[in-house]
Amino acid sequence: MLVLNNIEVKYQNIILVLRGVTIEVPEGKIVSLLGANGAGKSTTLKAISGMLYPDEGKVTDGSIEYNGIRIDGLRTKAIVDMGIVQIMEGRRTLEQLTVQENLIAGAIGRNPTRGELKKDMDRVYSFFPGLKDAKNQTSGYLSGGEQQQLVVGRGLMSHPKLMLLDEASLGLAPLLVKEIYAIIERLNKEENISLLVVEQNAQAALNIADYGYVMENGRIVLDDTGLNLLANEDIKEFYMGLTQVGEKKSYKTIKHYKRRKRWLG
Amino acid sequence: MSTFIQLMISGVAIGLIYALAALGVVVVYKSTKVLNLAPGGLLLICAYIAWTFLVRVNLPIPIALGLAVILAVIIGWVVERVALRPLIGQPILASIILTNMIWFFFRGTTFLFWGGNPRMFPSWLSGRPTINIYGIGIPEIMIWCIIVSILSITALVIYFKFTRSGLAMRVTAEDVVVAENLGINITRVYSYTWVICLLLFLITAFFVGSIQGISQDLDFIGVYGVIVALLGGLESFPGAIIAGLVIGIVQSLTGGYLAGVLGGGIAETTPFIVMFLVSFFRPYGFFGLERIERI
Ligand SMILES: Nc1ncnc2c1ncn2[C@@H]1O[C@H](COP(=O)(O)OP(=O)(O)OP(=O)(O)O)[C@@H](O)[C@H]1O
Ligand SMILES: [Mg+2]
Repeated sequence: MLVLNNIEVKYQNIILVLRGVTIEVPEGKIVSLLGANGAGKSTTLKAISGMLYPDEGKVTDGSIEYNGIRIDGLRTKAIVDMGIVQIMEGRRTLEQLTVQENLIAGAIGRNPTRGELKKDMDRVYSFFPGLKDAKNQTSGYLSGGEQQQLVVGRGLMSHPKLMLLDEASLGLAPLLVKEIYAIIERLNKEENISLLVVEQNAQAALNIADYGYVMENGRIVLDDTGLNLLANEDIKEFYMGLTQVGEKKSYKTIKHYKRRKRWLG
Repeated sequence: MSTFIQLMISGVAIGLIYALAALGVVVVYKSTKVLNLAPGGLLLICAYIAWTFLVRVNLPIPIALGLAVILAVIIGWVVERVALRPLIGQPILASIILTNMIWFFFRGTTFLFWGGNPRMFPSWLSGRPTINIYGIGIPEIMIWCIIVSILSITALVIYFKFTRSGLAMRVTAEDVVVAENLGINITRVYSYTWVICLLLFLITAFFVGSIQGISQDLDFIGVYGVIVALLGGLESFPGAIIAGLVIGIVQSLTGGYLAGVLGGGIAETTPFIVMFLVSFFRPYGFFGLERIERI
């Protein structure tokens, strides 16, 4: 479905951030992309969705193909129309607008009829019943969990076939993370939406992922099935902060360990 | 007492007209973050175009105004497409310089084609100089000013609140990156904002022209429009309306009561005095935009 073929991304023509990234998202699957701060995960998603443009970034090498069509270089609108939507990190709700207006905003590009719009909103409310109760509320006053639901729901309004999800768990309580990922999994199973899920919280992402990639310094350093990665010792060390006995490691020792042992470079 | 009420009503009427010009500036600023300093020139061109259809071509008023609306739409579209589109995302100083140039460009154009001579709109009022309401004589034009500006503002609110392209505009105004991300056609939003701006300027130009004739003084009204927009907080609709009313009323009252003492120019100066006073005490205007902060 989606193939990133050895892509290189530069910001402002000089800052090389992705150095040859190859990723594949097969139809109907959930693929996760893991990595620490600054690894280049969001940049990868922006490259796919055409959102590098506002940051003056560009795919300078390699290619991105969606169902056999090259999409690198297209504007976001065209890519959204093709069925790819990115849920940006940081829960970018439109705070001045109501929940319902946020959802309609997600559908404007398709210009649906009133009936279709109503049906689409009902679909979102069926996955996120909490949003229905809050539909006339200004979205800036929603809780963090509800805001995350809203941006996912808003993405759903564009009828995506592929959803790019950026750090949905950030800053949410473990229970909420579980809840949102359970719904993500349902979107995949029930609506047949393929997913590329970016996370620092490896556990949350790998629990639902068919396949996973690990990124460091703009390169893919490891890729394997979700189950294998979940069992991988290094992943446990780096991204779950667990040692074999299962106790939490302090941030400091992880940092230290990371400095000594890098997968690459 | 009746003088006071008359002055108040004139103030409200003029203030609403200023508010319309200011709303043109606000609409553009909200969506594109371009500070439009060109209303002076744009009001002039709108007024002369309306005058041409009304007087030179001598068309019936509805047809003439309809054609003027079409030309205003075209000017708005072209100005955005040619001059401002390349400026998106550039520092605000670039847009300030450019819109200033647009101002002088259109001012020059009106000199070129119309010689810069003062003109009058044909009188379209019923002919009764004043209308009596509870014994207070109100000039008919003031009543029209109030009715048409309230209708225009209502139309604007309905457009933003209940139509999809209005929503697209609000989305773009709040977060252009999210608008892009959702597949909203942002370039179309930019075109529409300028078209709306020009329509508001056309209404302003028509009424100011009907009150005081068409002359280079329309520049002043453009400057008032910018001042009112700034006072209102630049991003706020209610702010622009309230600021317009304040300036209009203060101007009307000072003109009515103080012109004899301080000379005729006082009414033209008061908007600037209010501007200085407000910017001294409230540098963000009456209504800075309220951002929702959540921890
Ligand atoms: N607009 C930009 N201009 C220049 N450099 C940028 C820009 N955006 C990101 N970068 C750089 O690119 C690198 C990767 O950033 P990116 O946001 O893709 O990381 P990430 O893996 O998503 O990190 P995080 O987990 O913190 O979100 C970082 O080193 C960052 O400094
Ligand atoms: Mg990121």
